Amino acid sequence: MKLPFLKYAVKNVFSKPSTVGWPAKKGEAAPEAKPEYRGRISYDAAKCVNCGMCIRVCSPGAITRVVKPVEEGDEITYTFDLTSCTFCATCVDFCGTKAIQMTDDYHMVGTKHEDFLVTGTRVKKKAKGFPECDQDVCVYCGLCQKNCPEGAIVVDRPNKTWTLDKKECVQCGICIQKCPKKCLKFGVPGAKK
Amino acid sequence: MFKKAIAKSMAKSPWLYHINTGSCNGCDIELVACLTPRYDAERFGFKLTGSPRHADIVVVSGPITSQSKDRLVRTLAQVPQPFCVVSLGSCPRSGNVFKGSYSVEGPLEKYVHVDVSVAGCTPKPEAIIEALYKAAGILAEKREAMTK
Repeated sequence: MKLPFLKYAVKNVFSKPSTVGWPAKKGEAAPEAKPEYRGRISYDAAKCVNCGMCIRVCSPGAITRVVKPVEEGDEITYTFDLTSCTFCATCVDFCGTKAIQMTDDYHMVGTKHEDFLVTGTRVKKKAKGFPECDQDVCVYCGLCQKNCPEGAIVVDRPNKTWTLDKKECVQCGICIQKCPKKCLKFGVPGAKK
Repeated sequence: MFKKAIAKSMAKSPWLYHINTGSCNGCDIELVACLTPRYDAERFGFKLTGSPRHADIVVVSGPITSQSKDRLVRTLAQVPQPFCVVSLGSCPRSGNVFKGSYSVEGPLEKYVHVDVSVAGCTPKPEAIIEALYKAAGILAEKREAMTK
């Protein structure tokens, strides 16, 4: 007589149940998501340069920006609506300063709309115009080009030219911070776009 | 005494009714995964029912298309009071990527009050179980308020 499933039957009597204990079993922690899991969005307002790329690439239009003029500059608030989000992480890929990140937190359960909003606010100081390059000091290292979140700067080392696309520039000032020769500075005050 | 026993047993076993209003099937699969032995929502008393007349918790997935809108309203009208509405994923709350389409008539809030929502596209089964657990609590409160 053949008993093909006897091995498994005996094995299963002594093995642990395959059911996830949480949340019925007290003391058992919620199972963690896989490391690549795309859960709740985290937004670091301090890193954001307000380039607006995330809003442009968001397919369901889940990201909104409110700009409120205050004394020191502009108060910028980004709101990520998780009831609208597709969790495709395109905004994360396009964010030049890594201000947007996906966490592995999947416990997104709520009764109100406010439970699903991720917001961040920061005050952006008034821009002093577009960055300008003092070409006598500049060594054309290209660090400004590398660090520009918008790709607005093109440095041509062989021809010794430094060009700025004023349509793309968001006057964030990162190039000025990164310049090792301190040859960049904010130029003539100009209205943005 | 009988009434007390009935109230207690009803709170322990809320029956689910699932409506797909044009969902991509992602959320539906995850809800079914909740009822499998791996996640086993049935140990909390949740049971999938085939008729809205037996339902205590209505689970809605999908962005509510024009074709399914009338059916959704008609089905929700058949659910006996008190009942709870749980929305699965982003679609019923906002329309997700389909919002603004000529054939999408969401959000769900237009037709019925949504008690509990789960975000995610799609939500994990653990998150759905958490939402159902929450909905069962709200349902018990609603029933208590009704019987008083």
